[in-house]
Amino acid sequence: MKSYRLSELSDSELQSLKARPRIDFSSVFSVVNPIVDDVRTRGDAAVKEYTWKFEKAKLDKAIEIVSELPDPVLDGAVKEAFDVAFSNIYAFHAAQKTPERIVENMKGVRCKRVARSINSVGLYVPGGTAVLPSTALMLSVPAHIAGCKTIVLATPPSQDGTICKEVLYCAKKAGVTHILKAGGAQAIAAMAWGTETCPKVEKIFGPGNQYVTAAKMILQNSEAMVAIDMPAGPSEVLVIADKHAIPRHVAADLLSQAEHGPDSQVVLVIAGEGVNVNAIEEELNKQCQSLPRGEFAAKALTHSFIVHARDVLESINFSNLYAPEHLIVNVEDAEKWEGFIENAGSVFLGPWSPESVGDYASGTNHVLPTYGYARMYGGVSLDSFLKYITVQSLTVEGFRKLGPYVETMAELEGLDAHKRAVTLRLEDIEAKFQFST
Amino acid sequence: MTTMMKINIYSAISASTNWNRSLIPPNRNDTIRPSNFAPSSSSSSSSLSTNTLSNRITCSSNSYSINTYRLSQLTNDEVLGLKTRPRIDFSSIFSVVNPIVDDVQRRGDAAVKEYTSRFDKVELDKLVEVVPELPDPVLDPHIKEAFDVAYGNIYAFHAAQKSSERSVENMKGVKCKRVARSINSVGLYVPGGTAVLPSTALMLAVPAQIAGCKTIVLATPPAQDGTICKEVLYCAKKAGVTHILKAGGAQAISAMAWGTETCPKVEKIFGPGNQYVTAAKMILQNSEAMVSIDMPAGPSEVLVIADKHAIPSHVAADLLSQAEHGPDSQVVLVIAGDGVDLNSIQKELSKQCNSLPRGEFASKALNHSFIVHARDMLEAITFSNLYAPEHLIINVKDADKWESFIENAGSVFLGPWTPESVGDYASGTNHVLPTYGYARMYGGVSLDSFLKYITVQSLTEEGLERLGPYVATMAEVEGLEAHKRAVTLRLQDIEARKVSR
Repeated sequence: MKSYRLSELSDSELQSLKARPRIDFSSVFSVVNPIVDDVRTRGDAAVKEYTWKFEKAKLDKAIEIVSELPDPVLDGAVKEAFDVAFSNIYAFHAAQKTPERIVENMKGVRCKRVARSINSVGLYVPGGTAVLPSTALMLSVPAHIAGCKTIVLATPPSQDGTICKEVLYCAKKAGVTHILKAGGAQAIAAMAWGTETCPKVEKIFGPGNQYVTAAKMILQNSEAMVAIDMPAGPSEVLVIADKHAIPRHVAADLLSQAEHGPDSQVVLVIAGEGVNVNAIEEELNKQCQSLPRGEFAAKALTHSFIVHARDVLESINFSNLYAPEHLIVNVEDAEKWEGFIENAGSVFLGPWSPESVGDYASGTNHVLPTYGYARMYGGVSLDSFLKYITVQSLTVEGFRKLGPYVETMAELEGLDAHKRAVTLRLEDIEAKFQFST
Repeated sequence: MTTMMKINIYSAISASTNWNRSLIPPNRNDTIRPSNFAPSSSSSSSSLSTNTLSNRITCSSNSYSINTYRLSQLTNDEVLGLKTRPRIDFSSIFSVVNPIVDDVQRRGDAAVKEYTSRFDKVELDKLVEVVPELPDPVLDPHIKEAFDVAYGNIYAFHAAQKSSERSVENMKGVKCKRVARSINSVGLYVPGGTAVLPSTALMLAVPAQIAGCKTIVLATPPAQDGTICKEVLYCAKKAGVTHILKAGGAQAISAMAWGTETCPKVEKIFGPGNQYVTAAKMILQNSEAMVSIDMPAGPSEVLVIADKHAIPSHVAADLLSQAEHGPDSQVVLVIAGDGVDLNSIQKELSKQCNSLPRGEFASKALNHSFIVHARDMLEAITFSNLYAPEHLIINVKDADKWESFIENAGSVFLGPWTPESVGDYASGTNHVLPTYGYARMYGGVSLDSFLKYITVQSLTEEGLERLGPYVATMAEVEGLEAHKRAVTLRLQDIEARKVSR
């Protein structure tokens, strides 16, 4: 792994370290645009054709109504694990509900924000050979808490046309209403436009490959009237380790990210002196060799790097610049550094908080901003499935107090009808008072 | 009213009408594809002509008709046609804007100055002003007072949106929470040139200030003498804006998204604007510029629900205050129940429109607006939810009690003394709101728009011992062995330490 010492880098060298590998969007867009258009025009027929072409699965029915599907039977220990995860994820997201509160900064002028669920949402769960019930939970649990009425979960079927039973278990548990057995850009397009059988959704969530991501980006700018959670790229982790971090744990954390795929981003930041970097690298080699997905991991590691920082503060400053999807802070008294963290998707503090716990079951969401988007996006949350509507209600008294100021401002802005909507009312109030006195 | 009661009422209504069924989530037998039914504004009247009653108003020596429909007589498809906004030809706008976006990426300030000269007819030496270095503008005192009052209300409403950090420990030793962090640098677009919009400056800058964004760039097209509106500057200074970019249109959005020699690069861009501004925002959010936007924006719109208690001159005034924004404003009047004096409303529309400086814009907007008759409040709100208006005025008796039935709207105005104008300027709510039907999935600008929430978890040894085995099981199901190992190695070490004690 390449290694740098922060204090020796120039500004431009530093800037280039934070950059992610360039993704050639325009060529991906040129592949995806025709699929998006085709699904719009030909609906289910197009989706089934692409599913046969890419997934090698021939389907009669692209859509299943979840309540009509038989409950899958899971291995006892597996069911228990997903139940525990469900419970923690549910608790964490339910705690995000905000109470409605009226603000009356001026007497008689009452304002508040009320939450309403987005009516129909689409959740993308990668499938085919991948098995990702954890992603099904991460997306459907907050949708369920929010109260979304239509929840479509799209996931590519395996070649025999079935979907992973653990995904189905989680979908049923979390109140998913429809399963769309399709993947890729065609699944995103089906949910965005609606088809003969697939409900049209108003917002689409979830990780996915470049084609899925490109479809989301294209459709959010299209006539489909759909929003997306965030742009997504290859998964990434930045680990900050000091001399207290155990080398084989550090190596395990780096590898758990690297195994996602050859384009995963893995960064190790050494905070201060006394860290046995050799031991970490030895552990990386040793553990990587015995991994089933070792080949992916090794490829990912070839473009990962190590950064030496003078102390935890310099480490965190670099991490803020990099804005990682996952940030592991494996240092002494990790909690006290939390206030310095500015940009990250999800943070893991201390020696007993590997990224895996957040990926599966701590309760936090694992659908997080990558590629540096952590600078301005947060991960999926309860709010992602809601919209907040503002409500105002003025009494006669409040209106009489506020009205003249509104008239002044409307006049300044040359918006006479805006002013009049106030003036006419004020005149009527005056007239009523005069009439009654 | 509970959710169950609401659902029962919806079912009862749908049993007796055609169209309300569209609101119940589609099942296999309901095929709804709105994209099949997207009439342009000129064809809508002909396709529904059997059900319409035209109502004429006169304004600016022109005579306009407002199409009127009775909801209970419409089919599903016809109602869906009503909710559709006029189609915007994005691809042709994109083809105009893409070259500007690319040019600014390459040539920075030089490109921006050229476009400013071309479009705003202004030659500028300096594009970016550092706000603390600018002299305080002197405002007319009662204007200053008005903006101070607005600032006070907007500040209070947005500051109240701060959420407290709370740790969730659903399982002992497994602590999780969400912490808010401001987005470091933001760009706020305030239309300018001939328009004077200090209210928009407040709406964008105040929540940015409360959030604690370190760099706040306000972009606004300069007047022909190269100056910016002093009220905009006043609001900008008051709300802590750090930089002013004297530019507009797609070039201003691009400058902030890429950064230039003098303009700071921002991470998120906010604000209303014309089609070119909106297109630039949409293009750039999908580009390598690494920037996000608040929401897609379209022409401003209002839906007014009025019953027999609403005063006709007020209803007309509210419709016109939206219509005056521009010829493509969307204006919808929903009559709830009987006894509403529609004739009076139309007379008032004509009368008020004729004496408006912006009457010509208003009358053009009214020409493609429409009136809908609903049997009662519930039917009216159901239609409003379908339409998903940017602004929703509920000018009916006991308006508050209908609040919980509202599902889709940007901002809601309840009762007879709550015209949209108060929200546009000073009630405290934000006036940068989703249009075009985007209220179905976007909310208006808020404090949260300027923050991102980072999740934080911290496990004790005990917590990992408790949670770890489940994580290992799930990682194994998913075939992610290294994920499993990150847990099992730690559990082994914990065990080993116990044994050695």
